[in-house]
Amino acid sequence: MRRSRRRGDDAQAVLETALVIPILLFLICNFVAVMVQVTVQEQLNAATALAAQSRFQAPENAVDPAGSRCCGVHGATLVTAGLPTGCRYAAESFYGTMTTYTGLLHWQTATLCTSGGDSGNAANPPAKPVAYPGSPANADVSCDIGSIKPGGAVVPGYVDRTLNPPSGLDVVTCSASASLDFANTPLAWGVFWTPTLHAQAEALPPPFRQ
Amino acid sequence: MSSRRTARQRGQTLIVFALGFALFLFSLTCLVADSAYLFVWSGRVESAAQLGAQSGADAVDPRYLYNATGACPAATPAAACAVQIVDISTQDREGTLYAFQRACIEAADQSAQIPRDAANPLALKTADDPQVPEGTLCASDGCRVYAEVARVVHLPIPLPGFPDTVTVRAAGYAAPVVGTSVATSTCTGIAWVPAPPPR
Repeated sequence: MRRSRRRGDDAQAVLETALVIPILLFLICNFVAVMVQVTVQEQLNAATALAAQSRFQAPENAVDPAGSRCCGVHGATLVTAGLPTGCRYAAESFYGTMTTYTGLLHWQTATLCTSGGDSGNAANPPAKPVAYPGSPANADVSCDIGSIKPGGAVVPGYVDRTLNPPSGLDVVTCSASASLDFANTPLAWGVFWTPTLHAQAEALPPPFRQ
Repeated sequence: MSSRRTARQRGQTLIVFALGFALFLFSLTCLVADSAYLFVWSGRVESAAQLGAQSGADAVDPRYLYNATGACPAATPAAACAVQIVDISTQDREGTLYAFQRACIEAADQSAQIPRDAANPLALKTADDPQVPEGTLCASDGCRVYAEVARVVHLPIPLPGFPDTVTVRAAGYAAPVVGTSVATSTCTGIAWVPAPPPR
């Protein structure tokens, strides 16, 4: 009698453990995944903000000479010859900041260097930026920047009309998007979601450089 | 009689254990949630300090980096002045802040989401607002621009007996550079703005 009760208790304990352990593992996996997602989002925000700001370290009329390349850290080299040097600076800052968890990210590639975007207002319709001629389209970050061409022609950057209304202010914007994929990690056992992360940053022109 | 007392004691122990364990689990949950929240904010404030320092460095007049000299006083118009152009001359001041300090504070305050008023967290501080107890202090030693950001973080689940806010601090620095293929930096070694006193 006593032996059969003991065997029943043991079976119950095994069953409870078998139920509880997967639930606990599932919860732990998802806690870790949320932390990774938050960390990557913060890193993405910082990288895009620094990228936008880095544009101002290059003179407005500086153009990359033939043979210029950059940022071959994620397997793709970006050819920046003929593009504003500020674009390369922005890309270098972005790739230099995005250094951790990059194996989990599937980037939505975009044109590295664009110009001419407009946030729009009642008098001016919003406009999407257009790619600089020759700008690589396989970049992880896209920056809308203004520049001065060698002949002196001014290429407008992004006009943010919420600043200095109604004419707006010519600013630099950078954006990046990526999906976070846990498929190749042990977390895939309990994490069934693939969030898409997006970051956009705007840098105002410094008083002495623009 | 004895076995009944033992059973009662056992029941009492069970209740005490259950309450104690529940309290322990709750404290552990609070600790984990608060630690995670602080971890996120420490990264955010660190990024803000770096961005603030970079913005401040970018707001330095590039002519200074190329060793340009300023226009001379009327008495000697042809001679070059010995004093270099720096963006810390009086005309670049607005209020008590130099141009590089304003740029640094604006960028860091926005990035660290420092509220002007605790009751309205959506309105963020600008360079004209007092930067204490939370905010950004920017200085330069003549070589680099330093940004020190302090952000008061309200813990999501405050632990009983402990303060419900923690001040997260971070510092960043950046050198003012400008260039095409090679960055140029000039360092005077003389402090433009002395480092702020520790908070």
